[in-house]
Amino acid sequence: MIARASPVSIGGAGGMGIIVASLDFDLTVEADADGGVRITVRGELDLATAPRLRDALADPGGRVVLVDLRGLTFMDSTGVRTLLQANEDAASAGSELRFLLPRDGGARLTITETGIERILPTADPPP
Amino acid sequence: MRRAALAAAVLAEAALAVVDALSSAGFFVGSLYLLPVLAAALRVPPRDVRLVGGLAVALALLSGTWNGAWGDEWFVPVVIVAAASAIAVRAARERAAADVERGQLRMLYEAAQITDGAADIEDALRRLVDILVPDLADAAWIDVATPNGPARRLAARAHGPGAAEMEAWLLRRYSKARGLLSPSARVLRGEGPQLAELDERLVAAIVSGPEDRRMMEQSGLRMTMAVPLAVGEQTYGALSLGAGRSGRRYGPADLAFAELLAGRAALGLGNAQLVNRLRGAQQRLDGILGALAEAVTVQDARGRIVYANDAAARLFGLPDTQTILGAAPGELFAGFEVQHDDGRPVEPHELPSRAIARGEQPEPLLTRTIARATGEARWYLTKATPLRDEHGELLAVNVIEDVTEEKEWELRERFLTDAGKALSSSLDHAETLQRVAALAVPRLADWCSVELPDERGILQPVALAHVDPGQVAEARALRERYPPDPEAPVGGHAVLRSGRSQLLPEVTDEMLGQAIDDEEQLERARRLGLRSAMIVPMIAGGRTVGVMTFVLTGHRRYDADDLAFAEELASRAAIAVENARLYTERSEVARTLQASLLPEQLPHLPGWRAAADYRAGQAGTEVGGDFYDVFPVEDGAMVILGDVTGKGVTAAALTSLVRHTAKTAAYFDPRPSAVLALVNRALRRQPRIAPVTMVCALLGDGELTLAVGGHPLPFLRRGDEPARRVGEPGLLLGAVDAYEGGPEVVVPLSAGDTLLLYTDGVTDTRGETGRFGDARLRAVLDEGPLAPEELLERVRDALAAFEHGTVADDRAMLALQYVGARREPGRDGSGVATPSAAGPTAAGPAGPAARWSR
Repeated sequence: MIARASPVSIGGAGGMGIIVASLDFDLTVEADADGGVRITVRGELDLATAPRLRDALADPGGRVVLVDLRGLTFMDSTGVRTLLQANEDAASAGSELRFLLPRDGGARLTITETGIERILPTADPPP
Repeated sequence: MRRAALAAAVLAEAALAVVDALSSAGFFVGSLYLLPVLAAALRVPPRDVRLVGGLAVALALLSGTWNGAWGDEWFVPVVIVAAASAIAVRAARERAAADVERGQLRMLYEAAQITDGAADIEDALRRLVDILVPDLADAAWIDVATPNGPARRLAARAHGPGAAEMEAWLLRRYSKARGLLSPSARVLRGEGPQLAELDERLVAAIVSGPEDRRMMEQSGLRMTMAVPLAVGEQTYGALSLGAGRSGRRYGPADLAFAELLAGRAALGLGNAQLVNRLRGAQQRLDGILGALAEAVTVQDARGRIVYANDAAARLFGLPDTQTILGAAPGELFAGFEVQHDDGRPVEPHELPSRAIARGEQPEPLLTRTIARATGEARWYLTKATPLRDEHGELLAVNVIEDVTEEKEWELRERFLTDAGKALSSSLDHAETLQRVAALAVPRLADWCSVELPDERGILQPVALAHVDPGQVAEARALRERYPPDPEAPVGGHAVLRSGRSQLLPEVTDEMLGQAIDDEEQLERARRLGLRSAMIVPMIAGGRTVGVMTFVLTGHRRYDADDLAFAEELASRAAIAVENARLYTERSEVARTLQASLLPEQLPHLPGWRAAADYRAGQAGTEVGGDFYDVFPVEDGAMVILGDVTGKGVTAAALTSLVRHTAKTAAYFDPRPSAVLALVNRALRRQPRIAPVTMVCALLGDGELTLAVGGHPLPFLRRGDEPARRVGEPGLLLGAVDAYEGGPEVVVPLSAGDTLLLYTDGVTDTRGETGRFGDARLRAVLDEGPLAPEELLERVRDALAAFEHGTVADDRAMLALQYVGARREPGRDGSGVATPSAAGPTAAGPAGPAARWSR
């Protein structure tokens, strides 16, 4: 993809994102060099924090979105539902949404249990 | 030149006398004396003509004596010369009068021309005084009125020695003069043309001090006249003329001419629109300041108000701005009690304008100002800024903003905030309303009551507060003894019916008498001293939930503002009442609905013992998303346990859908994978994605068939072995269309084997550090074999000990123990099921058609 001006309208120049932080959850939105948007989520994704990811995914400010969930330590059914909903919305909107799933920890357990790995489009981890 | 003409005439008479004396030409020559007189009449003033005429008559008489021979005819030349001299004097007078008129005409013409090429009104007015001095006056000056301020002296001209100093004095004089009695001030006040001797009395009345008096004396002015400069009826200026050193005196004719001249000049100024421009600028300024809601005043260094706009006049309660200008410093404030925010009186030196006079930069001053006459209190914010006028005098410009509304709003907002805190402090509405009533007293009322309708719609008192606690009991007793008539047109019930407030600004004794028939009741009501009242509906969501009554007993009276505020308070109280009611109702609904979504009691399962545990998360007003059910199917019993994401009505509807779909599916095909597949299909028909995780188990004789859709795998506790998970993870339901059911696993069981099915609410329970997790649950299970009820109790205890903070999620647990009782054979004709080989066996999603008996 040809590098172009960042389409991200959330806070500041390209590469500078906004950070929503809480005690055990934080979410970063940043523009990729190639025009995509990368949302990085860390901590616990549950009933209390899932709405923040939902809001970020509803208006990510870019066409190609990569959601990096590798920093998640915990995810409950609300988190699962949020990811599935975003995936379905992206499919009907024709935008590209890819996930980097956690490899271990409590969130990994939820992913294994629910089998959402088989549904969500995953991305190769960047170098 | 006139003197030369006079001398020539006198010389001519002398020459004629010599000729007359030397000749004897008779009376004809004697008559020639009249010629110089006639000539003089053409050139010299009437006085001089009279002189020449007198000389001619005298010479004619002398001529008679010199030429005594004439006899009786000596008087003929004398008569001719005398008559001709008289005519000459008369003619000279006519000529002189004509000259004066010509001069006046010239002045009038010039006066009408003053605006030609004039840069501005001051330039034009300077031209006017130039025309008048010295022909008509020794000094002239012009004052122009400004709409709300003092007049301005725009031009002055003087003649003779020391003229420059005198002009400077005249120009300077206007702002300092105590000019009320001066002719120019009278003209400006519209009193018409003025003619006055500058005698001691008038001078004493208009001079401002010793220096002014000295200049007045030095000027030599003895008489003055002033005439209006007017456009139509509107006098905008005064032209003043002074007579002094020249010795001229003014009479009515001079005044009339001056008036005519001023009229001509004014017309010219008016036509040139210079006046309009000047007045326009002033009017624009005045219009701007006049249109301001803020009062604007300008004070000089001595505190005298030299300018005030209309808002200032209103603020001081005066009919017009002129009255303010006439007031002495401090006089205006005498009518008000001025206080600080905290009630301390404001000292005069604290006023911002005083600070300006001291050369300071004052902060805005907020005051509560009470008019002594009316008792009305208003809040003002006074800001003052320094300004220097064209003479360098320091002025203070005061902008006084009426902030009563904002301040009252702020006070009321603070009150409503307090009320809001009181209202949200408790869900017990009786307690809440008592606090609100107490808050309204004495700020809004001397007594305040809250009444809510009972189930029959009859108002019942809920809260009552009185400024005098001793009266609470009496007010309550009166209310109890004489409950209000529900049909009365005035009162709580009428307000409850109509939803409209009733404001009774003045409750007279007569009104009480009309409303109350009972003597004793009337007497007691009188003693309560009701003087002004408001009855206000408590409206929430378009429904009148109650009535608030506010009563005043003192001198204060309620007005529309009070009513609006009371309505605001009542609506907030109404919302609190409604919230309390809804909360109660919702808790009730949630409890009822939740109960309907879970089996009331687990059915009896032959060969099995079972126990269930369920707890809804949060405050109990929402229906949770965890569910379980146990129901008989053809070859035994089916157990489902799962988690619908979300809470509330949506979750309840989904739970219901899942349970009924599962039951229906199991009726036709009891394979767990088939049940999951069908539930998935039902979920995919939902408008929004509805992920559901679920365990489905078919309980058989000595074995159990299990399918898991995205749910935590159940634990199996067998004998003394540590607990282990059973089943194969399958995809959660509701996420994809093509779902063929999770992998089915058949678990052979021996008597005493115990299974624990649970939702993630158990392992996700939050503690002080981290979550409850698998390990802790496993540890409880490993403590030893237990009956289902005891097992659940152990888990509950462990969770209670671990739990920290609010409970966010629901949790559900189902414990099943196989007790090994054989099923009655022959019921489905399939005979006794034989346990399969030891250990769980996995089967593909396609599922063994040969079902679980293999």
